[in-house]
Amino acid sequence: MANTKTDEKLQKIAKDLLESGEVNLIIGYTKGSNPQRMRPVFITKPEEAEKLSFSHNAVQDLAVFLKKQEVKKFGKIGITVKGCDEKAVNALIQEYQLSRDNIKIIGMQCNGVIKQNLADKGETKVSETTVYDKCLICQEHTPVLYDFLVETEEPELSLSGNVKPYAEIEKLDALSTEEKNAYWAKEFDKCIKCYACRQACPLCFCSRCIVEKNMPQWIDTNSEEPGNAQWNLIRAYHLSGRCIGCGECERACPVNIPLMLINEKMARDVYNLFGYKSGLDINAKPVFGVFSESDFNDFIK
Amino acid sequence: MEEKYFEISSDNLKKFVDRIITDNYEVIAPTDKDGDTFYGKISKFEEANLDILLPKMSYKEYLLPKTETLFEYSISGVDTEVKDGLQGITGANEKRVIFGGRPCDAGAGPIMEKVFNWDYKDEFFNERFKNLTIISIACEKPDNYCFCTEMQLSPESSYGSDILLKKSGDKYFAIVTGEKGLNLVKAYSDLFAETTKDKVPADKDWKKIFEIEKTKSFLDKNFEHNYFQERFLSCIGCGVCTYTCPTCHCFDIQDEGNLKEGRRIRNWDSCQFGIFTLHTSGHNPRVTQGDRYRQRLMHKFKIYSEKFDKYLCVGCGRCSRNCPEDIDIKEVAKNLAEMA
Repeated sequence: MANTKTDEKLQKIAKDLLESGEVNLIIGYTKGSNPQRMRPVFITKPEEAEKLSFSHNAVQDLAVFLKKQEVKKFGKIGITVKGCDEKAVNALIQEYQLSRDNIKIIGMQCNGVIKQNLADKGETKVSETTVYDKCLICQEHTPVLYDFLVETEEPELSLSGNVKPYAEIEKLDALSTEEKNAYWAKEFDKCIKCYACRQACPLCFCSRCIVEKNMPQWIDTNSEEPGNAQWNLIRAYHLSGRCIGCGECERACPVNIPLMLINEKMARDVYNLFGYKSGLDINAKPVFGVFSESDFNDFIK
Repeated sequence: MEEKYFEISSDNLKKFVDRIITDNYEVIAPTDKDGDTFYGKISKFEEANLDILLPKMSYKEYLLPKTETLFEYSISGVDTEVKDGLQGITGANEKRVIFGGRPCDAGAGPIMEKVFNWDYKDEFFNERFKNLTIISIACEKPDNYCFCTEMQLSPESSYGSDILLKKSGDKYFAIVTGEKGLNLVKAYSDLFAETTKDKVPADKDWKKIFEIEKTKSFLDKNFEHNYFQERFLSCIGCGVCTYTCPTCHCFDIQDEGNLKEGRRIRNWDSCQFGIFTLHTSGHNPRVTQGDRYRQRLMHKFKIYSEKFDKYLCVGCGRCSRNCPEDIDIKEVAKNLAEMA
């Protein structure tokens, strides 16, 4: 397949970065196992930059690799990111997991990626019914921070307003506590404790996760009640105020637990209570890492 | 028992499933939920989705539950009571049928049975497996992730199925491989008509795109090859490949409880987790994700076949379809075969 203009520009940037020695590794996308799939690729030689590509099938959040020991060894790294994924890079910098000096951000303008399960069935059109909900609420079609920007050739996503992103949140908010519990008990019952949600998350970077600590055993190991609820709730809490909404946990989940409903609900709550959105400013202090006198304290009774 | 052959019309197949459900059989079939298709209990034939190739997860959980109680204890004063988990085993019901699975999934049972009866006889697995009746449907259109033919099966293989159904126009041919299947056919004999082997359409000539023996011979000699570290740099260690796999069977034994009561359980585990081989000393023999994915390949295509004369893979392709980072095991096995 011929290179698009986007691909050409991306490849040129990557090649230059590797040739000049500014980075030792470029993390990007390349063509995947079928025409509707892309996959991560790791480029260390300038002549291999031609493998790089980008499209509305670039679903992965490549920032997840920045937490990996095998990748960190490369030192200075260039990374290809969509606007959503770029927020994860910012959050990692905010949380001292990554130095701004060690990362070159190749920002990809993006007007939405097609849901992978639809793409696998042959869907090729970007539209409000085929992209992820995160794309419908996206404010960062152009990444907020980048060293290089690759403009998109895709038309702007047209929103009729008929498709309501994360519509289930309002429905769940309207339920009683018992009904909400019943809803989530049914969802968590499906969990098989593979922890793919954790592994796919760019911000789940603990070298030893709480579920792997057994003195004491904080989280029951079983994949039943209450072990499943314990895991899913602790995952949610550890990401509140931090999750940037890339949706990789939900995409990776092999049993289709709607994890983004939890993440998005938390993000809304944090914004309403603290006026904070994660990953927008590398100089901001993480919301739960600071105390401010103006923080609300109505909960103290 | 020699294979026996029957015919059943599509209408009668529907009647058959509805009647066994009425007769208190627990029927597990591919069924639509949560935007995908999963194996699940159905209450009528219509709930089964027989059009899709494969459900997202395999039906491994019906042989090896994601969490299983091995025993329970309770202590009261000086009395200790221990209850064997086998007494409360669920799902070892003789009236349990997996309906509408594919030959790859069916092939997984007898392959796993080998390791569960190698030195220790795993009664939990055996109780479920011996009671389970498997009625599979031959595939007409495998997709690009399928490679059962390379894995010594085929889209029309009857290996592991008690009854294999092959569609032919508006009827099915039923290939009955053993007593379990035959008893079921006999109990509903008004719906089946006996036929002979020559009436059953011959299997198609399914082509292989690589030889798994070559993959093995690469693995035999190239433990330290760079391929593993380079190719699996993109592996995030999520374990989805192992959890959705019909043959991956590793489990972790854990105790839960307190001074008064508790239980010993086993949970699904995965060689893709860093903690899987972490020693108490802090040393980990499999440091990188490359080491871990190599282990998965070694176990599937080398170690298991040397021990049990069967590869630990049925070529269903679930690990490839479900991999969030698009690692395609068929492509990998082919690459290795080409490098051998």
